Amino acid sequence: MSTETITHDVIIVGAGLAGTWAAMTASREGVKNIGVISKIHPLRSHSGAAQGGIAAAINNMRPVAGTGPRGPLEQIPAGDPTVDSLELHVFDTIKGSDWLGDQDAIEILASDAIDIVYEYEHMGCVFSRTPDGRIAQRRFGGHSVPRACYAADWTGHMLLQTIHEQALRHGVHFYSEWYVLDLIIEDNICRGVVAMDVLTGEIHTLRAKAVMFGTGGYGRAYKVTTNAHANTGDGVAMAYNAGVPLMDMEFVQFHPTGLYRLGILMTEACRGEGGYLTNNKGERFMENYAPEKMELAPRDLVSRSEQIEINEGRGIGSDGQGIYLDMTHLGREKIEGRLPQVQEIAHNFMGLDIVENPVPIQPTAHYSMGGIPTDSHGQAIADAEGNPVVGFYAAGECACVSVHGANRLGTNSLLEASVFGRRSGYAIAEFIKGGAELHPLPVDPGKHSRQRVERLMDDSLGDERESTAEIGRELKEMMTHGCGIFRDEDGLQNALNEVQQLQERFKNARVMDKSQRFNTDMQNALETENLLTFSEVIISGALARTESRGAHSRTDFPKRDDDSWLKHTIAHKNGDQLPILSYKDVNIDWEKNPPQERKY
Amino acid sequence: MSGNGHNKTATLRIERFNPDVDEKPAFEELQVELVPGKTILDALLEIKEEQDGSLTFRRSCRHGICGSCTMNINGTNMLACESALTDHVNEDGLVTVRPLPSVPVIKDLVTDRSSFWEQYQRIKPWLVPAEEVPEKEFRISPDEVNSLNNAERCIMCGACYSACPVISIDKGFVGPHAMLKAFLRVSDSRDKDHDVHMTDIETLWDCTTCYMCVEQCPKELSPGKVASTLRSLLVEEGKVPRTLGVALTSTFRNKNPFEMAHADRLAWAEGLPLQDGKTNPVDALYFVCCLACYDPRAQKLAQAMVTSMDAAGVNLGTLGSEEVCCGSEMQRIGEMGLFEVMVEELTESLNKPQTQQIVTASPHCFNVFSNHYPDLNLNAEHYTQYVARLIADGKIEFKGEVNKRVTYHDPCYLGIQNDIFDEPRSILQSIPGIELVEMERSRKQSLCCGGGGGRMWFEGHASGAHLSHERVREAVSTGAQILATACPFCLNMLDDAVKTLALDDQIEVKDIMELVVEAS
Ligand SMILES: Cc1cc2nc3c(=O)[nH]c(=O)nc-3n(C[C@H](O)[C@H](O)[C@H](O)COP(=O)(O)OP(=O)(O)OC[C@H]3O[C@@H](n4cnc5c(N)ncnc54)[C@H](O)[C@@H]3O)c2cc1C
Ligand code: SF4
Ligand code: SF4
Ligand code: FES
Repeated sequence: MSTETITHDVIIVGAGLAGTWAAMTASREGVKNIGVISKIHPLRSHSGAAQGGIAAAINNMRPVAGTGPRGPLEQIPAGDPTVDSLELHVFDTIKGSDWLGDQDAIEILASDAIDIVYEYEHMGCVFSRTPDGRIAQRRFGGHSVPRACYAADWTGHMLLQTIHEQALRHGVHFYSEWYVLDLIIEDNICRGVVAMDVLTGEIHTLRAKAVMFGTGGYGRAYKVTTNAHANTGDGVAMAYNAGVPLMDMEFVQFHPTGLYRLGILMTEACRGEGGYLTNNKGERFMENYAPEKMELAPRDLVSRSEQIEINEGRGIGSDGQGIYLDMTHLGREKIEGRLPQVQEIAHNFMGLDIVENPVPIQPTAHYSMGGIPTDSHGQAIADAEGNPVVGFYAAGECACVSVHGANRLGTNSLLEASVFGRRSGYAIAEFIKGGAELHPLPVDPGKHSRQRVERLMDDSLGDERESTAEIGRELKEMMTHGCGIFRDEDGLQNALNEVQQLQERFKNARVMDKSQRFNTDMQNALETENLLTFSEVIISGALARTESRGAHSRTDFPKRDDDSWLKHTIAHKNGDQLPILSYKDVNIDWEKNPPQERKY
Repeated sequence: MSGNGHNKTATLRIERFNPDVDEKPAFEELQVELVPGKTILDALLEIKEEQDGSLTFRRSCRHGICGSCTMNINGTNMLACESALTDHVNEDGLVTVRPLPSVPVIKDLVTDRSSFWEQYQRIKPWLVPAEEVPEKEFRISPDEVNSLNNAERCIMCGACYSACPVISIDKGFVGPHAMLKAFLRVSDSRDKDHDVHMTDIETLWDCTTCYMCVEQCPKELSPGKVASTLRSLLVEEGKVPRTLGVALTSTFRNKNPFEMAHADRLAWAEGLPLQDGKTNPVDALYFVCCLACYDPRAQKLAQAMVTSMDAAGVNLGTLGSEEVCCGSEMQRIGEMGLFEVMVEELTESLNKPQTQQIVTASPHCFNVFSNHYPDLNLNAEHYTQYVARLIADGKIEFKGEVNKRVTYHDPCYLGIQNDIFDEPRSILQSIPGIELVEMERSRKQSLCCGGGGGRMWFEGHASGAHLSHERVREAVSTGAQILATACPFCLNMLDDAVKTLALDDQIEVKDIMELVVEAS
């Protein structure tokens, strides 16, 4: 395992929408020496799995007059009044966030949205179309008008192909299947990263004037999740280890419709297109929870409603842990035209034709609202006062700007990754062109990474060794029960104790594969170590936050408490101890969008 | 699923290889519990977590969208995450899992796909955006989007690439995935420089249009089928390899691609009991492939057909002087203008005779009549379908025997492209004395002979290792004395290969019809 240093102007970790937008933009702006690192081939990044759509108030579609909130849509004829506006997108997002989103950032999100969707289109993205050839839009939960621009139900796939190809066009260099282990920050200045070339197992130091993380979400901390295997929150764990704080980690979104037991996503577009949720009595129970929006209430609310139905014995399936998603009234043509991937997934994994059968689903860990705190240019911040970490940027799901606050609206995250990825790209280009320097590396920068790897390889424990996979399993089980949809003090306290025990046990964990070449056993182990690192932060934040807001629902504190908790959690690493928590004010325009009760 | 009810464990026979320590790949058998709903990927993950952490494979999304987990399962490339274990285990609960063929192995089921990505980059996969863009979006009709969608849905999983016979012998070939991407770009009106994608694509002439890539694409896309569209763009610009140009010109002038005189088209049938189908009522119209008309070796299969039909009491006719090339290969070469004219003319001739039945000598003619002649009012069949029925009805009786071990090569246009696998085999099995053995690659996994898609007239860039050579070696390895096939193109290619390899003392290539006559 030699340590060879590679130097770039800019290193971007992550080749999903956020990382690739940043790379493409910076390169287009004239920064030529960019290296993008991805632990899986760029095109396999999780952004490609997004199904439903990307939000933008482009006003192409409207509900047919007089048909109600679930009725059919039509294109808006030229000259007719619009239905959507930036203000409305902003308001929906703020309300969805349960007023924890930063309103200045949300305004940027909504206004950049329109431009970035058109830019995707100009770069070749194959969007679905209205009859007159404009980008088609559909309804999505929490959005008060049809705002989700889509490409059938493989929107993320189309966006990722488009932006990846443009990055290639601009000459961006990709390190495919390199695994980043550590972020090097000293004296609050970022200096590079340490990464393993998965093919050879060699560990390299990569030096740069600026590093950007677009490393994606952390849904793999839960047992049943819509997230890909790769979504292990490496970026947040590395940043935390390097002294960068994490923000609002306790806010984890549960999606109402993951496939029963498997968690594979049935996009919200299933409900956007008119699908129902029913319990074991055949009742559309959302009537009791969100009589107006019904199934299209925001995700936190729908998932909680499902969980209550399940807890009260009205679930379906052999263990009563499921709910039905019923699309049988939509008809074959609509399903095959708009939800082909969903149809294929239900067929492949459940043996069901959704045209004819309701699909068993369950609430499933889906999206990480929390992450590395940044300003609206992707610049990572070091503390509650907003001081920058020099040369370190983040965007996409690993970051927390925060536009989603306590709960993200569907289709706002492809948007976030794109918009703030692009903004980071501009900011990084400016930073480099403004004369950024390479700062000296600390002595033996790869040491910590090497030690992690060497310990996992060590043979001396014999049968005493722990299984990394087993520890990962126990962690996910524990997070699901102790820090899931509903939380309370006892459960969280237990969870915290357990995660610390698991961290302790992990010290004796060893990999089975002792080879250098393409050691995925090693990679899984390092990822599990990362899960253990940030799970503690999620639980600590959840335990401290004695209120219910958005996706964070405390049964012992069921009300939102704006007097005490209208603030972001900031968690700093404190050696081996629990994180140090501090709090940061939410950016609120008290005139325009003051906190209100959140009702759907 | 319940059929395997008593079989509670599945055995995965996995090809393992770590080039750093192993001399060569070896199979290892590992067991998991067999329960409905478990995918092959689930089984691999379970083995990795609980039994052997060193088992190595790629995965991420686990629902068929990221393209990571492509591997070869029981001989076919597929996505492990989408493939249920219960669908793939045999009666003994066994399933064979191997890395993708034709690409180097990095470790176990992880392959080196760099040549795949190089080919992708080579066609410049990005859209070249307009300098001046509208304030909002470009207008594109939903129909136009649908046609693009199909190509943009490609998840770059590499199943097609690794299954492609040309790739197996030549990594310089552009490959199906890259052709599909190029097709996407040149079909998109927003792309401002189609030439960029087409300048370095001339290896697309190497595609045999076997459609193995179509067969194995887990997303049901049609990568190989776009070869003809892309070629048509080159044809329009006159960028056609010289020998193909000769074949095209000959087809235009002589109504056959071999530069033979049209007047000699029926010379092969002299003295044989064959009617003029245009003027006489016949049971079936025999449509003879250009190759079978003019090539001395291939003529024998046509002659055998006539002899056999006569013995069976079938009144066989041809179009006589109105028989011309069916245009199948012109279409695959991308000479669409010529092809359309040919379809129109030949449709008219074919619709004239009284019979409702055409029987073709070649799978190529059969395929094009069945799928690309929209106004044809006849029932087109390949001769193996027709003859299998005659045998089943007792109209053909065998008096003799062929005491040989025979293996059958599936022609792509018949098998993969039209799902006709059983009829040829049933004919062979009904011939007394024949012991039918299968090659490792047969039916849907058959290996192309290399003769389709214009390759009959074009050597290609792949030098040395010809597909037909490999196919013949595979046939020899079964111990077969006869390599049977049912296509003039395959017959020609394989026969040449046997001669070049000097294997004539071990194996003989025959058309099925020749064997029928031998045993009659
Ligand atoms: C099933 C599903 C459907 C979704 N549908 C929608 C939708 O319809 N609309 C919407 O707006 N949002 C949707 N989302 C959310 C959205 O897809 C994500 O939030 C967004 O794509 C995240 O993009 P990203 O660029 O931040 O990260 P990702 O696309 O996840 O990319 C992360 C990148 O980081 C790399 N990486 C991570 N760790 C390392 C490491 N240690 N070393 C090297 N590289 C590393 C990975 O290789 C990858 O390239 C969906 C999410 C899921 C799970
Ligand atoms: S049609 Fe056959 S030769 Fe052509 S790309 Fe597909 S598999 Fe390869
Ligand atoms: S065309 Fe099909 S088989 Fe080929 S890479 Fe694309 S999805 Fe895979
Ligand atoms: S794991 Fe993504 S396609 Fe199989």
